[in-house]
Amino acid sequence: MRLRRYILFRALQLIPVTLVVIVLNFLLIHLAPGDIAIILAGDSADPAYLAVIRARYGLDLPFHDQLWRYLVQVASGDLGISFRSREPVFTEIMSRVPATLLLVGTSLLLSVVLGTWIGAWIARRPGSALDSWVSAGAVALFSVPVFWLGLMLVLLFSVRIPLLPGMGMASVDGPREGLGRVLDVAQHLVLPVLALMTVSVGQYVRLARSAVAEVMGESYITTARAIGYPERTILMHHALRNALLPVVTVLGLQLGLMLTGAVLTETVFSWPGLGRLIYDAILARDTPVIMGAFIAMSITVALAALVTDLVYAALDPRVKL
Amino acid sequence: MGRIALRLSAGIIALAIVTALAAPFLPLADPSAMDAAPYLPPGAEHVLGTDNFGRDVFARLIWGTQLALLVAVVSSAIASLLGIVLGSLSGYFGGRVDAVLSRIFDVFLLIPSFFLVLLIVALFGSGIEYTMIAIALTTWPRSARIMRAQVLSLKSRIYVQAARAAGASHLRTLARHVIPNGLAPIITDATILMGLAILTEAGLSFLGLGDQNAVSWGRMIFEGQRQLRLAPWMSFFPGLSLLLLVAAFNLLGDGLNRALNPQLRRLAARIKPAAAIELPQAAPDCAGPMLDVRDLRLEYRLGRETIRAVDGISFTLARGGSLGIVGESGCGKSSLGAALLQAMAPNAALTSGDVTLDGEPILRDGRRVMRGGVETLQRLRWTRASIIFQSAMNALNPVMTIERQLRDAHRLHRPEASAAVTAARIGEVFDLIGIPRERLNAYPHELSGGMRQRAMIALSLLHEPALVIADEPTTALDVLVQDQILGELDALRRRMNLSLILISHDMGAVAETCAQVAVMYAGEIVELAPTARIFADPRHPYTRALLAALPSVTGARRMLAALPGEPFVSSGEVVGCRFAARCASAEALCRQQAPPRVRVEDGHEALCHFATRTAPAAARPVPPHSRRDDNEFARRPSSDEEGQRGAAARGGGSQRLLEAQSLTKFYDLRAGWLRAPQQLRAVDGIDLRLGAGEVLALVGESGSGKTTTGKLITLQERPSAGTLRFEGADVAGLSGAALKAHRRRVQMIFQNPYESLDPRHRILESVVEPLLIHGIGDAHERRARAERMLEQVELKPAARFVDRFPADLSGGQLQRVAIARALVLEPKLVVADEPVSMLDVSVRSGVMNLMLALRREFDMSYLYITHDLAVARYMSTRIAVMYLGAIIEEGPTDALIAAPAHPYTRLLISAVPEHRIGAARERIRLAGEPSALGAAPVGCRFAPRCPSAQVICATTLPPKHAVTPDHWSACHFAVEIWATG
Repeated sequence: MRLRRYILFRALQLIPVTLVVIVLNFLLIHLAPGDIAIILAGDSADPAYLAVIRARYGLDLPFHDQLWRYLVQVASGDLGISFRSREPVFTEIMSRVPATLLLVGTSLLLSVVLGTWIGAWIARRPGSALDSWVSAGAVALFSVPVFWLGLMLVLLFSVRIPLLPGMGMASVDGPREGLGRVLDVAQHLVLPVLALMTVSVGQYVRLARSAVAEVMGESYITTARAIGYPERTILMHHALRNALLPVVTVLGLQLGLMLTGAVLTETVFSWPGLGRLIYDAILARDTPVIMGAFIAMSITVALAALVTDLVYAALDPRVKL
Repeated sequence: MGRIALRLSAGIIALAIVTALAAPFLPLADPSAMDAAPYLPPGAEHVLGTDNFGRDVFARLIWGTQLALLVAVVSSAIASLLGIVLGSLSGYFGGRVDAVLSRIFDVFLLIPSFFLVLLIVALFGSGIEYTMIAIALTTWPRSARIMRAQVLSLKSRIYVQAARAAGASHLRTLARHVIPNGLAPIITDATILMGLAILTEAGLSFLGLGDQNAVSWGRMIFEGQRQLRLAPWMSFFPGLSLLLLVAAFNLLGDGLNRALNPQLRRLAARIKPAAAIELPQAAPDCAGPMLDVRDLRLEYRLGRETIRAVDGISFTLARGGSLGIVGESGCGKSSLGAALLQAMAPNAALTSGDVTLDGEPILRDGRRVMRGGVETLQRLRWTRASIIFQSAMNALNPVMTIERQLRDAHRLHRPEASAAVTAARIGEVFDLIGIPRERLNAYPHELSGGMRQRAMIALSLLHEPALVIADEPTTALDVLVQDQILGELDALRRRMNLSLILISHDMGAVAETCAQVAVMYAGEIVELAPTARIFADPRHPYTRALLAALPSVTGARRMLAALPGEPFVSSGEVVGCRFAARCASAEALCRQQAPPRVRVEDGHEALCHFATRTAPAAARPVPPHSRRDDNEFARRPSSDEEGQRGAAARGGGSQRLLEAQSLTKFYDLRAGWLRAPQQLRAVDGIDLRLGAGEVLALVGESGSGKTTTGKLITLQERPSAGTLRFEGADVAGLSGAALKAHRRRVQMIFQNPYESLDPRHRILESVVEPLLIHGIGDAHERRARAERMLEQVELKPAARFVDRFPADLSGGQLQRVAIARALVLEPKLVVADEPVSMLDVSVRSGVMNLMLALRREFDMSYLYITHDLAVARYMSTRIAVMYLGAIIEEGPTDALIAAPAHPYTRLLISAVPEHRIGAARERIRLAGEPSALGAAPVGCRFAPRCPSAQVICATTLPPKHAVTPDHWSACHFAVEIWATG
């Protein structure tokens, strides 16, 4: 019962974020130079379409009416219309979500697992040469511009050595369904995931390392040694369970960074996801799509923070529900 | 390695700065000149080739440094500044301000910054100004959050409270104490912000949103991506530069973090343990002693230093025997417990010693013993010998239930046992210890301190070991709970015929529970003897000094001896006796030659050249304010007992210095969404009276409200109700200049000497600060006054201390500086909140004697807050006992202790481990732990736990009964309790 109330309570906290994001969107549009109608309709819009846009957003109405209208629109799922495709932004975004989810999800999973594992491993000997080198390497990794890494990977494994595909999610003439399709997509997934994963694994290595090193100095680890558990069990079972807590906390907050990386990665690899959509929208100055993407990303991050909180509460018995 | 990285990164950044500044003056091609042929590969004329417009890549690379650095510096500067200001305000002022501001931070942190930047740039244009502002706008919440967290934690630091108590304004406190100490993580984060800014700008340019006219590395990659196959150098070199510069910033931040955060450096290096030694199989010697230790040595590495914590310990523990190991901080006893069971941290290692446990060798020559490929100790661990740690500090895994931890420990050594057998055993051991079985499914943090300790004991007895090592099992527990746990341990020992080793700093606790005592100093055992003999006839000067420094509750009142100097730490070469520097009877021989182990008698040995010399019982003078010495207190010249009592009853003198009536402090606990608001009744209507020149001890356990009372008296907190009068005037409602003036007359000495002083200020600054705040004298006079004060607190010569930082001083010295700071304003009343509880025993007596001497000299009054009755007895003339927010008994010190009139007081007195052995002490059992404060009590607060409670106690609030004119108690049966004394 308490759990449900807690979830409800935390879910309610999403509302202020969403509101701020929407209002911010609205304010920015109004503060920007230029005619709002043209911003929303595109430079090459014909007068008829301009009129449609003006009516839709109520651009002749007073300020607060416009804001209210916008709020209601967004709340009901109407994120505007892309003037390039003349499709609702919401539909466009939703159609691209699966591809991005595949990319981001795989990268996140791999970087967390690999990063935590490496971090825990080097934490066994803090201050050693291995520790210093790996830590410095981790720092170097998250300093890499992800788009440049993507380009270099394409250059190496796609151009110089034609090993892996460097574009798109599936081969143009490949199988449409079944295992063949899965393998095809998997092959296309390798380079993008490698790029995205590399720049975030460093974070987790350092985080896990400092969390585990700190935990290993705690009294209950000495107790565990005195009881006689083998060192490996102590690290993996007793220490990691406590060290995971700060890692989980950071996970949710890092999603924003990962989505950023996704935009850039999808651009490089022409991955047909949300990021690519945003890039095309930028090139074409399709403002409604950029705005809609901003709202969508913000809500996603807020949701991720909520899920992270819940996972944390489940893992740490000291959190009062 | 860390140093190399730091230097390298600083070098790269310096190079970048120089390049950026020098770009216009270098002999480069014009970066925007499209003269050359496009797509030329790197060659002689164009070092890094040309791009799609025929521009020289190398020139563009150099010029691109300008943009990168500009973006980095400006964005992070704006973001950090905004963050510092807003974060500080939010953290410092709390309340509404914080509620609003931190909501804003949290919301902004959730907004993915890159997308906001995208939106802003897409809408407003791609000028570099927009980019920088956009980046700053999306990253300032990071700095704000960090600053807020820092300020929140620093706000409660003692030196900040001390500054406020001395009268500093909010602005001064913020500017001089809080912000400077909190900047370290902001600086680190600023470097990370710079790296982030550079990457963000590069990402923007890569997407085509960057400034068209500026030379940007990101833009170069953008232009190069279409010709990746043809001209890869266009994309490669700018990206590499990005990588190097951003990595440099991040590594710099890392290095700064390590440099500014000394704790990180203590994650010390591991010491490789010596190889194990294989011994032939042999039957265990069951007739021999339980534990035989010879020349055990342990060292640990801390950063660059190697410290020999245990430096040659030898002792024998008979089966069924009990040994107490006593010592102060730095003596090595804390490492000894874990070392005996070889459960040290990786940065510690045994370097020598032979240990035989239960007749089997487990250590030979400092090396682990193996038999038939199996480590002997691994077999014996927890099944034959176990250890109880101090459970206050996380000795049990916080994320696993007690039941789970017990079950795992059982299964580890009895893998063949079924689940039913394990569960049965766990239940059995809980019953044995006396913990209710429902608590099995609790997590450690859900249990009280005493319960956690009992759970730890249960864990240690799981396999019915023959030897139990108790490593400081009662430190950090309340006096009454301590007493109980010790009693339970003793009973268990006798019942299960255990051998016990008790390691503690508390001489009394060890004396009561153990048959033998070993005194440790500087990693060695300096004296080992049966308990009775150690107290009757100590042969080592350190033991004698330690005993002479212990205040007693029932013994004759004698002035405590003080031990000069600081505890010895063994890290370098040692010549002569380690105690010689502090020994009152040291001679030339002691400094030249290490002392031999002298066998004084059977079972009694001491590490001293002169161990066979019996010391004459030093005639110690009576302490300064004994009953006999009336002139110490009453301002009136009357010197007879009657006059004394009368004066004390009226608060000691015609003019009452301090008078508090019905003083109350309630805290409203924040009502969460899901919790009803609760009220914490910290102080519930107390009356206090203190005369000029008096010392009133306020005695109570944790949660009694004594610290809050101290804060009310010094007006660090406002009373919720009641009156407070100082020298006749009402002070509870003071504010502004009047409050500041009042602060000159009432000062406070805090409990924690290590946090009392601002770590960034030199000693002189800290002592001078109160004078500065109140505008007393000029700089020269203030300095002179401060130096005089330092000499008066026995920090001589003052010149040696004035320029030092707190980190260079020991606990005792720091507390003396804190006293100097409190007294420099020459206040009339000093509230001392447990000033010696965190100091070693041998240092305590020095500070206590100093406080008594200064009281006489400056003619002040003390309100001395403590949980230690022996200390209270030594320092005060009157004692007031607090329990759960109320004063339940008050009276003259000697009278109250000799004949208490309240059951709780009686309990407190009985719980002090008596130093005289053989004196059969009545141990009164006590049920439960103090109940949390909540609703107003209906009857007597102590009734739920009182052994003499009757029906009336639970229903009616007891009135104050005066058993003598100056001694009263809030108990229905005060007179009876008092009479049976």
